[in-house]
Amino acid sequence: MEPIADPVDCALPAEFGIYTVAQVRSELADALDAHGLLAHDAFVIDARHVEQIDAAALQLLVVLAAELRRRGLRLRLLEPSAALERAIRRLGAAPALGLPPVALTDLEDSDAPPPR
Amino acid sequence: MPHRQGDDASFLREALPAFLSEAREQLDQLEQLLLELEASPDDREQLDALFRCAHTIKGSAGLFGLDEIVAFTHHVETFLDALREGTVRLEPAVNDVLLRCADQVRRLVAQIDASPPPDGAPDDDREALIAALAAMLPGAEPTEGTGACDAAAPPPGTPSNQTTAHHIALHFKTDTFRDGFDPLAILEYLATLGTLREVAIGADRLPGFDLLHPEDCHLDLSLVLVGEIETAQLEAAFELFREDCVVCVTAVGRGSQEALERIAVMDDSPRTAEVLQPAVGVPRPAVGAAAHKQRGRDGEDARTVRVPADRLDAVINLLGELVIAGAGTALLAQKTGMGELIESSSQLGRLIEEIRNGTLQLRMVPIGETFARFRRVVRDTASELGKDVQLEIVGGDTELDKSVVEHIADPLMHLVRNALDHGLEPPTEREAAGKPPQGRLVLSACHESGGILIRIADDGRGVRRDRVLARAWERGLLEPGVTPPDDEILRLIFEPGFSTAETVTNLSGRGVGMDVVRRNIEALRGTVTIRSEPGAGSAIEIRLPLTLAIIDGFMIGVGPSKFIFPLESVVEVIENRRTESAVDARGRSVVELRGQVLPVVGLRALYGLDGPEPERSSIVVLKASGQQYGVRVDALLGQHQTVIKPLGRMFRSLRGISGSSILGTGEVALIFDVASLSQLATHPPHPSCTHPSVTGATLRAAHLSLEGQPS
Repeated sequence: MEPIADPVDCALPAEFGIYTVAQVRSELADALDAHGLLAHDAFVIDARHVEQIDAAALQLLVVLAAELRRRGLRLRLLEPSAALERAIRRLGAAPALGLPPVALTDLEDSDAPPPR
Repeated sequence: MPHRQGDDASFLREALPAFLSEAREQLDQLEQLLLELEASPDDREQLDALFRCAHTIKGSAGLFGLDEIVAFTHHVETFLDALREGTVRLEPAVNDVLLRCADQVRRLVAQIDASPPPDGAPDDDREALIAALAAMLPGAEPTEGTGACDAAAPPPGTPSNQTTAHHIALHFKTDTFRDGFDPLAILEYLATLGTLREVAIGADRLPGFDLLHPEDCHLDLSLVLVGEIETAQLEAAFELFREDCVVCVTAVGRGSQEALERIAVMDDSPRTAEVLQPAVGVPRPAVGAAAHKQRGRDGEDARTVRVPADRLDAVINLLGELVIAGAGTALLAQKTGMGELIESSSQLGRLIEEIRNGTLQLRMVPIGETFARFRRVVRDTASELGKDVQLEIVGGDTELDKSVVEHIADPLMHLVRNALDHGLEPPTEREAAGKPPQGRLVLSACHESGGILIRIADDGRGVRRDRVLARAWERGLLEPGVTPPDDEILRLIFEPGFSTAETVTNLSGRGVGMDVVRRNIEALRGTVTIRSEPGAGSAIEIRLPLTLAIIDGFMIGVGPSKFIFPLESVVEVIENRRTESAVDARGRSVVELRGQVLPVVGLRALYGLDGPEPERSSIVVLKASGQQYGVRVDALLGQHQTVIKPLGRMFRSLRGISGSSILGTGEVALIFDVASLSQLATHPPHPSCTHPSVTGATLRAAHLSLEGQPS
């Protein structure tokens, strides 16, 4: 585990999908409110534990990213799991999430390690 | 496998009728939406649907090289796009122009029908409409650049059957996730077919974080699938997902080869997504078109298959034969007394009944589509007459047989026009009478005892009895000076050669009178009645059978004759006790039923049937037109699947009987029309009606003619 520069705002569950999106959304909402008081511009989500993910979950992340942009913040996924990476790549969600598009092509044909 | 030119030409020629019918449907819907939007001009969903209508017409017209339609519809589409984007608002004036545009497209479509696509100069009218549309747009709109269309429909002649790349746009429905459906899974599946490039999420429909219901799906996806796969194969693959998502697959044809190459070159650039943003933007109308195509074809979001009506009719005819043959087999099985055979034939009977219900259901259509056509009629007619009329439609989802619907449209049209012309008053007259200036016309439909009841009600001036009488005396329909009961005065309206309009307008008074309406309805085994309150309005009620083919019947016997009542009109069966009440010459009497007086008719007397009255008889209680009455019968023969056969011209005039049916034994049973039987029983015989003795002879004749046949 590498040192963390910014404090984690929220953590994603292992099963991140249609059954948990409502719960995660409310956690994210709380985290957003709490973050408003902090000075740094990265909204950090601990994404290490995601094992299962579906499009509902990614939709939530995309909407969150748009909200963060509106607030002048940026989304930072901390150590996204392979499953999450793969889903982001499949859905072409990286630009919408404000993640570097390089991740897209880097991962095209292999389950490469998460980007920086 | 590239198409040869000849194949394309013949394909297009064959597909043209389908295009014409689809175009007309789209135009109907467009018109409908415009009229509905008059009430709610900001309904985004309807505005979108409006755009899709025009877009689909344009797209498919382009496929057929119908350049005039494409050129004109393009202007309409551009305008509708502005409407849904909210840059223009749907004012009444705008609506007028758009309705005229729809008419124009209709005219263009009609031209194709009559003759090969004309490529003459555009009419002035069309130019004027285009100018009117342009004038209503905020700022000049470019008229070139039909990029959206190109994405939806590849230009004709493009050999797009097999290409190396397909553009795929996916538009998921809100319930996608809840239906247990994961768009991610589609992408995983597509990845097995080829290489996915430029997958992008369309952000258009995504709500803000605060408004997001995370279990709703708002995703649009766009991607390019590179790989050797045929368009048809891809589309077939998407069949699986059609319930949950609208798919638009476009082969990236040779015309777009350059774009494809650009995509290939840009592949590694970090700005790819940004550059390709149009790839998300472009398919949006295409997605719309696909969404609409699906909706247009499927009615409202449900999947359907189109079947030519004559095939369906052939199946229903065969079904009739099957029902009769089944009844015959059951009878034979009964005779043998073999338990197993009886068991299996009754099982067969149940299956036949299910098939019958299912098959007849296939031909059922909601009457709302017919009603909806009247919106435009009412709107235009009312304004032509200087009247203000609000049309209400109730029970549009009531279903009835398609063949009935087809035949009822014209009579209904006449009745609606009649109500507008004669029934409803101009605003000033209404105000003088203390009514709201806006008149109301209500078209309603509901099921009633095995049939459908259609009511056309207005709150107009009602029927002026004095004028009806004066006209009837003048036309010799009545002896001058004779004043019959009120309901008979009203019925005079349906007599041939009757019209009360003082001035014959170009709307009604076209020589098609109410008598034709009545004839048309009676030809459908229906009845028409009118109720009218002077000064308060009129209501015309049409009762029609649900289907013209097969019904559930309740069979009874009187002497040797067998008759069938539609089962839905049978309320109960009671024992006929010898009552104190006298039976009159026409077999009419009353019995007491749970504290109520029930009028009863005897078929024996009414139809002059042979044979003595048996010791014991029963009364079948029927309901018709909101009232109950009883019919005295000798024997109860039970439920019977009844295939309705027409009576033939000779017996058309038979009152109270709607048709005949052949029984399993080869005997003929006559089917009662419960409503007209009650009228026959209530009223003294009409001069034109067949005398009962003739009816008795008729029955005997029918029986004799079939006696020699094998059963």
